[in-house]
Amino acid sequence: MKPSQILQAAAQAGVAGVLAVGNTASHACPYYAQLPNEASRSLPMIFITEPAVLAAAEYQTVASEKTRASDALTENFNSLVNQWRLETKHFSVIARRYENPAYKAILDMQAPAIPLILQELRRDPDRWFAALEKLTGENPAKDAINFYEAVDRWIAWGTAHEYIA
Amino acid sequence: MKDRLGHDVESLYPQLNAAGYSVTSNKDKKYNCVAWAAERDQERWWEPLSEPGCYWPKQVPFDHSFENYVKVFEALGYSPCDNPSLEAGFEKIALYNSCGWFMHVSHQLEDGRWTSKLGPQEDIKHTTIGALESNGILPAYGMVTRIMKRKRQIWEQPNRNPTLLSRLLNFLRAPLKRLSLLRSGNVMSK
Repeated sequence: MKPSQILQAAAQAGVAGVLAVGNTASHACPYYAQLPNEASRSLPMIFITEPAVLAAAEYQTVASEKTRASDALTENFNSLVNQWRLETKHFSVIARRYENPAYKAILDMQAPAIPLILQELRRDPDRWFAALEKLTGENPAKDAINFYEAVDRWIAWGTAHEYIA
Repeated sequence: MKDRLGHDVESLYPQLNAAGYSVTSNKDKKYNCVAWAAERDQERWWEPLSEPGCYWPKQVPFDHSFENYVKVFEALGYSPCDNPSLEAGFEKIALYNSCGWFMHVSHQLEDGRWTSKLGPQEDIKHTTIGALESNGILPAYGMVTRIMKRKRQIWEQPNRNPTLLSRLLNFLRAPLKRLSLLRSGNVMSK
């Protein structure tokens, strides 16, 4: 975003000023603090061009964007898990549980769902084995004698592969 | 052990509360209603699925059709029956069906009440088979569409409160049991 665009947006939002990290030449100015003051229409813009500050701002922005994306993914996953459980937790036929739209949506999340599923498996064990096998291409529980042994093996696998701590 | 099912589970069966029921086990995800009704098997989940802990009799086709669930019980000596009433010397099962899918099986006890394992949830004792039926709006078990019976077997009562000694014995027996199941092909694996 160009500084002029930032100033225009800030004016429309009714803020008093903009503190920008970056400079006009590079247009690297997305990092600013809004000072709410509806009465003011003068919008001074102070640029910080210190390389170390620029690098820190860049790092923080990338990190916070990643965190936001991760939070949204986790929230979506938890919502789908709740829906899946609510609708199928009493089913006597596992294959029917796998037909549930919420379960299919979890599979559609692909690899980012792996650590979330493993955490959920540890928190509240459930029939995640087929999903994990599909997403990882592995099956550490193939000769497990019962459900709980399969859970233990997947958690051990997830820990060994650093999907979960 | 809880006296009642959680509200979230109980509410899935609109007629259960009024019909009357009691909880008879803790939750256990190892076995399902088919394992429970067939053999009081508390170690395996009876379903034609290649997943850990799943079991399906070799003589029955490996797919989920309702008729294959009927065949499981035919293989155990059950034959068709036209009513769920208690008959001296016989035990009965009721199979629930929703949209052509097998959904559940209840087993009649000697006092005429029924026992059901609710998927991976608890076992319950309920007064009627209608207690678990639904009109299809809720994602429950549908309706009973098949009753079967056979001469009553003597059931070994599962031990709900194992002593430390019996737990130790089970622990020591586990490797032998695993070997036995692997040899018989009863552990499903890809």
